[in-house]
Amino acid sequence: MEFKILKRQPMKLLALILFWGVLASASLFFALQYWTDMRNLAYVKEYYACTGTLIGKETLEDGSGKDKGALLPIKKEAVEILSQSDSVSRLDIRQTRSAYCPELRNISSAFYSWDAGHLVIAEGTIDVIGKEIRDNKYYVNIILNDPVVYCAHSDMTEFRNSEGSRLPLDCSIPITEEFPLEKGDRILAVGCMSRSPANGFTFPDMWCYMDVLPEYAEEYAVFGEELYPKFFTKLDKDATPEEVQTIIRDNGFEPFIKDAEILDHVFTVHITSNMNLLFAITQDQMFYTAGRGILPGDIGKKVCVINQELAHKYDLQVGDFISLGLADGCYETGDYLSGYPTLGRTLTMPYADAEKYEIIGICTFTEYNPVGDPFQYSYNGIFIPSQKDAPLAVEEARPYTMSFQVPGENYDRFLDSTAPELEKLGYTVRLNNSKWLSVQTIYKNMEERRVGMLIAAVSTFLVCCTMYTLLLGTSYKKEFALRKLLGTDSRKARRAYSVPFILATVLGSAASIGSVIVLYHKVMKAEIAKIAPGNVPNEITVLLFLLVVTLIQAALCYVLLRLWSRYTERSAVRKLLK
Amino acid sequence: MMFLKRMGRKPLIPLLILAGFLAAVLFIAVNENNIQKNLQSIDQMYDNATIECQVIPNSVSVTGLELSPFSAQDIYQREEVTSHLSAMFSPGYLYGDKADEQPYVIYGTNDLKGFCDKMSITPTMAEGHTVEGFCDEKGVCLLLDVFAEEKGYEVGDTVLMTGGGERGTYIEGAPVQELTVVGTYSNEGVTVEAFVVPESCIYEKDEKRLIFNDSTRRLWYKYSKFYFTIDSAYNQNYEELEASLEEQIGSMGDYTLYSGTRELEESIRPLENKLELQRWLSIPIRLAFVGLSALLTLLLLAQERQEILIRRMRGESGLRVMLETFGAVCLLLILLTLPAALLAAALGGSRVMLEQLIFSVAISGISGGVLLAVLCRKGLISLYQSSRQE
Repeated sequence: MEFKILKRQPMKLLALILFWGVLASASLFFALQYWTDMRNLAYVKEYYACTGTLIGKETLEDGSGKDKGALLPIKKEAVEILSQSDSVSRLDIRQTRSAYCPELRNISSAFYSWDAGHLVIAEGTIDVIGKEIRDNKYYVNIILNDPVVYCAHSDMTEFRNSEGSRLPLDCSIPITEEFPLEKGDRILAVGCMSRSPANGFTFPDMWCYMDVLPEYAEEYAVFGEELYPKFFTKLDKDATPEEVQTIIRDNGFEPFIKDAEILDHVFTVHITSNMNLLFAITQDQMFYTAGRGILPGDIGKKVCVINQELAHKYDLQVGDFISLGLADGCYETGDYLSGYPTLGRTLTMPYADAEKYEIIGICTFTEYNPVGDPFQYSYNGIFIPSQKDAPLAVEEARPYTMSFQVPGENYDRFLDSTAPELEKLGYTVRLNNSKWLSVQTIYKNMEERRVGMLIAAVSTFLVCCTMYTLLLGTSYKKEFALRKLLGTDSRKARRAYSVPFILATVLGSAASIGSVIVLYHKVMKAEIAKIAPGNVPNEITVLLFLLVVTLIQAALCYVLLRLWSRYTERSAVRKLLK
Repeated sequence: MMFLKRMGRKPLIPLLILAGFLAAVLFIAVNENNIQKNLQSIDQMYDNATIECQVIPNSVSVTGLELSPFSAQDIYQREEVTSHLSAMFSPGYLYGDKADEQPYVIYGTNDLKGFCDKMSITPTMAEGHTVEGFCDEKGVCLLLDVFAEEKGYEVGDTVLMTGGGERGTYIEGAPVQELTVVGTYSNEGVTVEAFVVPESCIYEKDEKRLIFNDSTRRLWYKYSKFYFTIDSAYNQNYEELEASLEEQIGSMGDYTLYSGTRELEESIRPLENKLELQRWLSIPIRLAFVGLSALLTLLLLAQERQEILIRRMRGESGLRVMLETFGAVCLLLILLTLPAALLAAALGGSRVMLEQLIFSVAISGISGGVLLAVLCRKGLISLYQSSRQE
């Protein structure tokens, strides 16, 4: 019956639908703009947040010159303090995993420990014997000519000097007694090598060295126990390849030789929720030469960031794909978490089937310590996003894997309340510098203007809602009056207002929400990605937001309409029918 | 006049139109003020931002950058560059009675304070010498504290140094410099051995000449670190300058330019983009206000059906009725605009507000004119029937 009445005067209803549709569209656009404004301000202020970590106060040096405080695990209690602190906005604990990439070979480097390039097992004939004094120790240098390499990084097998012939291996062996070998002797030697030794100048020609030091062997117990006594085996000059293989087997070298091929494809994967929390990034030691870093919006996706050296080696670019099979854990090499087992140990973790990851960024370093700085990364480090809803990996928290963010405005509160609790647990809080104080006033003014804008918009839309209510009320007051005249009860009489109100509101809202969503999907989403990267809401979230705004508006109009209907109920019928 | 009298008797819709104009002006005024003030804030942020650039090597090299000082000079002498920090890394040997055939590292720099900050070293200057003035002095040096103690050097002593060649090799007959010790430094875990000297000891900037270099001796003096700071006047259009610098640096060798533009990229540019989006989103809002006023004008004219019917029944031509009514509506709209125009003037009177009012009146007038034309061309009977529906 109500619809029949409305059908008789369709233009009025149409006008109301249009009015509400236009009004709702305007308010929804403003709501979307305001919401974007909020996200944008929150995002840009993050740049000025301080990034911090905790450094243990253990200052014992372990002989390698590295401070233990930056390496050892962080206590669970300290992580809990940070996660519960209201002055900390983000907390990220990066997981380290060993990963296998079937199509790429890693880059031989000596980051922090023998990152890759590790063990060499080779035999050859002694061509040169020399002696030198280094660090007050007496060394014998041996040059092996035309070596047969059984186990080595693939980079080494490609070494050539400027004439193009195979380079001899240069072995340095410390001795304390008379050296038992002579020129022409054939030996099987075990050592470790790196393409870029960090303790000297580089040379235009490639060279490598095998350096087996008793100190080194003692540091790595397995290396010492299993390999050290066998690092140097004299062979018969006429020994056949089969006989050499027997010696290799008897010395227990086979597992290492088997691992060498796999190790060539191993990388260290860092699983993170936000690369903007890495110290290397916040201190401008690492930057992107192409693409971007992992952001919170990438969580759950199969994307990755690789180092420029790796990209250059294989001519990889942003948009290309690499395969990675992750292990369930990683190795601990000299207190440092790495994808590589300690030199002299074999691989112990199986790798899952490789999955494709899209390269979204390529990074390199402005300042790089090739020997190792726990807050930097190897050329063989690959970053991938964490999984959705993954719990915080508290057990993997280390100073260099954990970062937290303290927004500028919370800085003093953090120092007063949270930092002392952490210091009681034996940690020094390390926070990077921030420019927040120099921009604080600017952002405060922007926030105030944003709130002023909201007040002006709310006032404007209140006026417009009143306009709508008045329009609807005056359009249907005669219908209401007629119903009163015919003796209808108040509830049914009020339907003269409520039915067109509901129809116009629902139809107008549907049209306005639909058009705003379409515009958001086609145009605004891309723009918001520039304003607040990694923080772009999906269409469902936007739809829910718009529905809430529309409901609030409709509720407000309904309240005004109820006031109007009360007014008309009290007015004389004659007056309403005029 | 009759039209305006009738509006006076039923003022609801004209008042709603007036309210619509005022609301639009208020909203636009606040929005525009917001945008302008934010733009000013962004300009301020651009002026305060510092872009520090660094030349880094493209390929892996243990010694890091090996940039020729001649090339670097072409960069820091550009007008867009306000300052630079360089560190020249050179092998050197002790000469004379303290000679020990060991190569040492000599760092030459143009800015000791910046150098110490970058390398995390703490200098201790002798009396009469300052960190700021160190690089203006000739023939002075700082020694690593443990090295000075080991070799028995004290402040005021003279150190005889000679340069080394590539790979740290000793060059027979290389020139010898006398350097006076004016202080020591300690490092915080970063290896910086053993000497820091002013760059002028190694490189004569004004003459573009390496002091110890000639064609017979391959002495090696290269910048291992090179930073430069961009004038903030170029921050807003840094992309153009960056492209030019990249081309210049790329032509010098296998180098890459790193620009410290994180603040621009993560903070200032997103704010600029947001303001653009805000401007863009204000357009549909402004169009909505125009649409509302046009809709109200149509409703106003719909109320005039009865009057149009009466006048047509009395024999007036459709054209005359239409023109007179249209004129009256336009007059009404202009009158209703006046308070909004006064409000706009009070709130700053920007071009955008004026455009909004003119556009609203124009669209309302045009849509009203179209409706009037339709009504005046309708047959009397259908006009009568539609007026009865009210």
